[in-house]
Amino acid sequence: MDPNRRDETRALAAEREAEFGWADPNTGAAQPCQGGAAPMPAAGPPYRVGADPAPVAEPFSRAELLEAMRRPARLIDLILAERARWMRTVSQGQNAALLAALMGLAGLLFALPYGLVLGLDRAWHIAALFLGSVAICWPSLHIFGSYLGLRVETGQSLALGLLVGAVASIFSLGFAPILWFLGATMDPRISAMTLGTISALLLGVALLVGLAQLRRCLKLRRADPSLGWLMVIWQGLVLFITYRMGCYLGFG
Amino acid sequence: MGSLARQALRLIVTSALYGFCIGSVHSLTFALRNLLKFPLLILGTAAVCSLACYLTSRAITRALDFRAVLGAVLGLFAQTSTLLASLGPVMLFLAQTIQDPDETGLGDYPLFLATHVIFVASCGSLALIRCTRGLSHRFALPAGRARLLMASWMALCLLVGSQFSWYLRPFCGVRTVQAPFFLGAEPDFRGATSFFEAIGDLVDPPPGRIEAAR
Repeated sequence: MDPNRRDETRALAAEREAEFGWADPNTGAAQPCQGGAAPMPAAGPPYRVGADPAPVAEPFSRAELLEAMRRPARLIDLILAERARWMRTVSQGQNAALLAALMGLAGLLFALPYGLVLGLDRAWHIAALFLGSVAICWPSLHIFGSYLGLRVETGQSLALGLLVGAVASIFSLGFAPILWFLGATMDPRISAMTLGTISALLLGVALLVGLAQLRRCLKLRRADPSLGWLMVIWQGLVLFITYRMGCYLGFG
Repeated sequence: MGSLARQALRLIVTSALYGFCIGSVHSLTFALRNLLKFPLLILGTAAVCSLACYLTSRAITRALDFRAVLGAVLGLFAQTSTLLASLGPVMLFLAQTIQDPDETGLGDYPLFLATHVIFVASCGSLALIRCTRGLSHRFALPAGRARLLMASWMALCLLVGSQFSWYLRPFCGVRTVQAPFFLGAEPDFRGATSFFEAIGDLVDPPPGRIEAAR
């Protein structure tokens, strides 16, 4: 079997295992429940940031991360579609700093089109909105995480925090053509408030998806209570700060 | 011809056919305009939403690449259009036989409009259910995930499609009122200049704006 194909299959198996409870180790196919019974629970202790979320998933190699830096489509896949491998890379910590840099790059790059739709002078506003808010909240994630006994290195917590900004920026990229279209078909003198409301709504959705992606990566349902509460409170803080940042930048 | 091109062609033909039928309630001019406007509405909506649909699908599952997403979205629209086209003769018959509006009232036009809305909603729902099942089987997606995917695509397409249809209006109308090819951001009788304002006006009618429009 081609090594790349094998890696892909193993990652898929890990993802399915994480999502459905268990997977066929050879094919990666999720196993159906027998007689309506619940899926087999995954063995092992509750998840912690320092532990392996899915034992079969391969972490991203340095070469893969550098390759993603050159190919935006690969970067989107790496962030959105390969959660098990993403989380494994963060857990292992070896390339976590590079991954964090990649998240920051994605947050900057993919936020540009939406900003350009708003206007040339506002091109940087979306990156400031998402990455700025996460940057403001990141120290609290790192310090509180350490305080609660989660052995997290700077690169790891930075990658976790920046994931929210990166995913939100990616979704803002998807919403950019929609906002442009709505702006082009509305009368700007009369519909400015409506368009502003829709824009705020789209950005809100993008942020919520970013927060949801972080939640999915951490598998909060299997986490110990302290990590669960920390993430819930931290996500609330990110929401609040992003709202304030949005008001400051004129999105409110 | 590729499957995407085939689906796009099917979509253009069937939506143009249905557009022609509902446009005929006003005049042949409106019917002929709809041959262009209806496919433009659907293809334009699909084009504007495609990137957002793709990114949404990547967040939910990695079973679909961009081509598969585009195929699924076009397939959904093509199925809806095909179902609608099959009801085209019904709408054509109604368009030719309804009691015309006059100075005293709108005649049977509200009935025609209600039938159109019911047909669109029914065909759209049926196609949505079928496409969700098809997506689930074809890409081995869990049913819940396929439903989530379709629901998010539908929300995106509604957001864009509703405003695009507002911009391209009128598709049909009472015979006594003439209108250009499309009205764009022209205010309606309540003064709303976009679909979202019109919905807002329905929920909370603005008396001042209605007076100004008069």
